[in-house]
Amino acid sequence: MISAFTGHSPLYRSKKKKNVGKLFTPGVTVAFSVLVLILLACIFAPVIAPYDPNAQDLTQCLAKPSADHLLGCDQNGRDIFSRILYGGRTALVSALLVVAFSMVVGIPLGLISGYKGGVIDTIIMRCCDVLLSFPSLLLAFILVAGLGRNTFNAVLALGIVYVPMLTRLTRSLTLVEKNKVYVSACVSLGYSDTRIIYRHILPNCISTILVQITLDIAYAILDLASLSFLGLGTQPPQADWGAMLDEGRAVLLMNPMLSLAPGLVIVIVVVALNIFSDGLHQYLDQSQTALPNIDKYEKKMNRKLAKEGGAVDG
Amino acid sequence: MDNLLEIQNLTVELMSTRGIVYALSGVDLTVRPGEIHGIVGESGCGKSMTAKSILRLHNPQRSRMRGSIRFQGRELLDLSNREMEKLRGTDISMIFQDPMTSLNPIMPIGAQIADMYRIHTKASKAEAMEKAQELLAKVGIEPASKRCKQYPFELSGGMQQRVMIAMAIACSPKLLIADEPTTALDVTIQAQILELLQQLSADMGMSILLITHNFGVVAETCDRVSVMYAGKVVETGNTLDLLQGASHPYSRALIRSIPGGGAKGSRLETIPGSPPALFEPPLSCMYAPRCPYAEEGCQKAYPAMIDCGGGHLAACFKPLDKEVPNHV
Amino acid sequence: MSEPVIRAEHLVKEFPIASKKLGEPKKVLHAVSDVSLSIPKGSIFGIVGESGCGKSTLGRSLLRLETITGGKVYFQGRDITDLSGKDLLPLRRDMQMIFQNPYASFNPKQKIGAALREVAKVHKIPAQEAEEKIKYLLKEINLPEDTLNRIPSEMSGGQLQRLAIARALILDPAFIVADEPVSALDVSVQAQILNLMMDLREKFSLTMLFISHEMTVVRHLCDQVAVMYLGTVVEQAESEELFNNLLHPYTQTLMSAIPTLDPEHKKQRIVLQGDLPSAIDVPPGCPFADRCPKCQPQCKESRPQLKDVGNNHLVACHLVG
Repeated sequence: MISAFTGHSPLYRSKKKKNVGKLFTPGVTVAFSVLVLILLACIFAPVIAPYDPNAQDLTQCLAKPSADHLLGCDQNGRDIFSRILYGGRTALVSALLVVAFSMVVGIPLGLISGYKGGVIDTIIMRCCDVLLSFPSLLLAFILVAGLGRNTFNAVLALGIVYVPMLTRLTRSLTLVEKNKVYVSACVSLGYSDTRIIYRHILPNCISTILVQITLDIAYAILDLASLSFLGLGTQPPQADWGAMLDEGRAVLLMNPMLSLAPGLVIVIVVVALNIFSDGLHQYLDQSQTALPNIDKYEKKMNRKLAKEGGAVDG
Repeated sequence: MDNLLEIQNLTVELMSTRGIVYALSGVDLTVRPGEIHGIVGESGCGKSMTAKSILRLHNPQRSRMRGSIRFQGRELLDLSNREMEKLRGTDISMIFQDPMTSLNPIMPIGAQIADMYRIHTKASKAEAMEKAQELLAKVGIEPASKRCKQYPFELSGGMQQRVMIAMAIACSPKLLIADEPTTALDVTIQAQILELLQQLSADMGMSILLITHNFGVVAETCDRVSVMYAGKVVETGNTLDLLQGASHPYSRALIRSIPGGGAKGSRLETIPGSPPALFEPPLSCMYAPRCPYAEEGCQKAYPAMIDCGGGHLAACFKPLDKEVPNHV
Repeated sequence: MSEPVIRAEHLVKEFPIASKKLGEPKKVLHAVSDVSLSIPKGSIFGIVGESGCGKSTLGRSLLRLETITGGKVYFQGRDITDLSGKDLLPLRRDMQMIFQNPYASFNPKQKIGAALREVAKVHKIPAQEAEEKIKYLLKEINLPEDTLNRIPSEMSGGQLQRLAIARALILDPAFIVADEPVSALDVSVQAQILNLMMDLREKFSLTMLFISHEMTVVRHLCDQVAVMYLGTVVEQAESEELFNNLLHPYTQTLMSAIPTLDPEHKKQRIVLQGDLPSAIDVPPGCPFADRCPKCQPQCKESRPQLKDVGNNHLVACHLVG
């Protein structure tokens, strides 16, 4: 039974051990580029936009798309393309503010609730239950109705609505981390609770929270558009994607572009955010990464090495 | 000699999140009928990998196996997936380290054993239930008629492992692969389980491939033993032979590092360095960088298994003198 | 004799158990019942027992990582039984713990260097001094300085356990609890860690409670050994005395159940019947009575107390002494 070792298959030798999983898979790359493009377009709206978003040219009322007006004009003769660009600023900034508010309030509440437990946990969680027992948009309606209709109040209302979801997520992640040995080690080393919560537990939960946040931005864009569409958010004449949908409703048959354009942009942004969030989730959680076929992977690495002029031995 | 299981030059390459792992590099192993064969080694040496390879439990898309695994003369690497499925659980079965995760938590243990039995034998429900009770009694869970209605969480770790064993021996397999069956258990319970395995092997004429990291377990239960290091069997021999005079420097160092031999407070023997990561295929002896006896030649070629006398094999260019005992 | 570093008197720790059915009386799990011990400066006290015998809870109670149900704990002569909240923080500087799984005991997102420096920072050790201390300790545990820039998952189990020991030593603790520090490691790595502990013990005159389920490891390292069963100490003595003269039937079975390399050993193995009983409904008699091969009627009726049978060898058994 004495046998000689015949060796492994032709092999590549690599110096660096990098993870097989990548963040920028083709799908994520496209989604990310689209997002960046839209974001840049909105940021540089004053440079790109051919017209002032609120300038009325009554000769061009409901104009069809043309070289002068790329997407045509609305019933007041305002350039739709310019309004989309400026509207994106309102929509995206508001959505980011909603999520930022929910993060600043929700994450610490979740961390404290999960780590401390007991009465504090019960109080925080029951408050969340109360907020979650209302349909989220209905709650936003009530808040906006009470506070008055404007963009800021819509953001505030949605921010409050988004807090309990984030709190619950953070709490459940904290509960898992809290029982890990490194937290016991921190306690036995005499670290204060605040230090343990923010320096140790939070960094270990943040990746999952980050995924949720990218999704929340997409939801916030949709919810803000809904509020504006119902006239509870951004007020005219300020440009906003949701508000533009509403304005186009009356003249839908005469110039569908008026509603179609903002609607399409919203869909594109939301879908792109979802794809990006999904990719991020897979990247951050390596166990979710689908491993490549071993033969294909080997061929790929061999090709890469041959290109770099590395030695491929048989 | 007719071997029950004969593994020759088995190599396994696996896809991992960090690239290809060269998990096994030319494993040679034989298991004779009715013997208890131990595989010892430190974590990551490929002992569980060998067990999984015998049952072909790797995802074929993410792994590649080469070499030969002959079981009762049949080449397992050439069998179709269907044939392999038939083999698992009937001719070869396996038990794992953590019984709790291997059992269905919401099904009574008797029903689980009966289910498993019916899949392979097409027995009637009543027959299978009767068989389940018989098996439970055989592994020492008594009174079986009462205990078979219990759920896994109602049993202690030792009892759960007994249930796993009952399930594994239901179809009277020729080979039982036990992957660290007692590692999660306390010593007193470990003693019970080892006793049970030995008794079953003797009663049923069943071979056992016992995978463990504990040389003590090997000494007490195994007839023969193979020591693995970095994806290769480095030494095989009769348990007594190997434990008293290991030929491979690695086996010897490993045995010497066990506390209990020397006086209290005396320094224990250690092995400098740490085992290699298996991201690169081996080109020379994998132990050479840590080996105190390594010479220039060891760094250049891959050692084959050579006979050191009496069926005692070692993969080393310069096997140590067997007459020098392990403990000095 | 000088004041022992840590002393426990009739220590009791119970955990309440949520009742499964409505209206069922509340039950308690007796994790540690009536344990007394004292560890003099510079000695290693070993605790052996099977899982669930309360050895880890005992260690955590001595460090006051648990509240204490009954009895007293004295640290350097001071009663620390009832300290709570902020009063415990200064105590943490003088008492350290080493855990079983080295991978789990480091924050996976934190670099090794940051983890070590943080300990010093929290306890207000000047940065310069801390840096020197860390470098010194790295040398002691035989790891290169670039270890500091790594994250835990890049290290091996043995290296991390050495770092866990270094982390515990940064603050020059007076007392260390090592909870199964070598159980998760391979034999050859285990030998490295045990050697390291013996070296450091000389150098820093460490006082340590060493918790393990492995008799051989305890025998190799410890000065005093206590064997625990179901929350109580059944036998306690100087290490040499205990292992040369096993008196309690439980200690004898435990010792005989350990598989050894000696082929002769197998023949004298005592295989125990049954499992460890639950610590919820503890029988009134000797806790080991149900499984004891030498059980007598009196064992089921009254609980034996620890008594000295000479040579400071304490045994809790009706049949001994």
